[in-house]
Amino acid sequence: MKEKPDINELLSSFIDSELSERQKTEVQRLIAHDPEIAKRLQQLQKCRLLVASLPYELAPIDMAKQVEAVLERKALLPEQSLVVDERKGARHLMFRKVLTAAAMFVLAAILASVIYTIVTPEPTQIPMGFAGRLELKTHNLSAINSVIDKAIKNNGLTDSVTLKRQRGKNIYTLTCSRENLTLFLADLDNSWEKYDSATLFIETQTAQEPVVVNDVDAKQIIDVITPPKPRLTGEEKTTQKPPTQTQEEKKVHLTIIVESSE
Amino acid sequence: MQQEIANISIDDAILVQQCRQGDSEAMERLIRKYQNRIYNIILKMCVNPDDAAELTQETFVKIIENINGFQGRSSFYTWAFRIAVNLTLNFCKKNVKVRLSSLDAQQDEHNEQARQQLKDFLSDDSSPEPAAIAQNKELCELAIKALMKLDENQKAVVVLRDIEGMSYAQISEVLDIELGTVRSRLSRARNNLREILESLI
Repeated sequence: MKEKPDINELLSSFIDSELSERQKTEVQRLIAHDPEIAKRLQQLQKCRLLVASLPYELAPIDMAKQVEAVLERKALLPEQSLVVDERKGARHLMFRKVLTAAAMFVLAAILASVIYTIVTPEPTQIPMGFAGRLELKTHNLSAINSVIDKAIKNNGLTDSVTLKRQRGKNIYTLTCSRENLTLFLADLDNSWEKYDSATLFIETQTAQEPVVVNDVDAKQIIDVITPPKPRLTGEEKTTQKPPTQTQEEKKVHLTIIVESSE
Repeated sequence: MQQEIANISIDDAILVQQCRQGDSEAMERLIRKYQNRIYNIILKMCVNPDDAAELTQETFVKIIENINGFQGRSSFYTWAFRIAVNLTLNFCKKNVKVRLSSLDAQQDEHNEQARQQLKDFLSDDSSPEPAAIAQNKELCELAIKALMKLDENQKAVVVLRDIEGMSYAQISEVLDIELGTVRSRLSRARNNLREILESLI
């Protein structure tokens, strides 16, 4: 259902001659009988007259030229600016891509480093079969030195030993295979009774301080340097360690300090 | 008036066609034909002459750029004014705070004489000549200020009707609103304008 227009709307349309004949007659009748409505109509007409009488302003005379200039500028500039913008955009995009790739690379490197640190075991030293120090004290230093020298020669360890002579003390540093050290120690075994004391200091990877074995004899040292025979499973039998690693594991290091007891 | 618009439409169709074919002379003629009318309604809506000139220029640039897309479903006249009014309404809505604060700053400048002139004009039973009103600078300033206080959409219908002299049907086309909406919006706008003017006295 069409809503009935209010009196203001009728009056407004009346002064614009936008009413149907029937509405026009109705408004005229209202105006004639109601001074308030007549006054309202007059006020609206005055408002309309005031606005309609505002001075007619003219556009700048060179409007057409200005428009043409803008159109020409727009016709030329968009292509140039587009090219420039495209280049700028491409450069910007490339820079962002490179930056993103670099950031991803750095992130991946950090992540890999973290994972490597977590997953891989602590870097171990070159596995040595044995490392230790044997301190021998004797009343007959010269005799013992000659026994040791002989044992070194007999076992072909001349190149594997360094000797440091100090006053009342000889320091032998041996780096050789387990077998050679075993044979070397076996040679010394006969002269073991000439030692007043024999103390073995065993270096371990876990403990900071060496393990001390007092009154040790040659056989015990041989036992210590000889690794226990592993119980091999079928799978392990087929697994072979790299040759270099095996050789390294077989190497032993022993420092023998022969000191005079006097 | 209707006859004039009809004649304009015939001319417009030819000029539009020539413009489409890249005839710069036709384009210039089209601009010259409408520049004052478009500038005038834009100026009445946004007040500032520099803004009005720029918006008028922008309107014609847009008209020429889009002339190939003009389907002819409406007249060129209403199509061109629709572009002008839309640009102006967008501009005014963006700058409404600046404009209103500027108006408030000028509020105290109305002297007693201007207020008395407005009072006399509204209470006088006679209808003065529009030319006489146009020459009364102070009265016109008050009218412009009252117009500026209207809501943008109400201001647009008042300007299109009372200044440009469009029919309700044309306003409906330009603003893309129903005829009934034109009628009611114009009625509310005039009532508000009356109240604003009375408040200035």
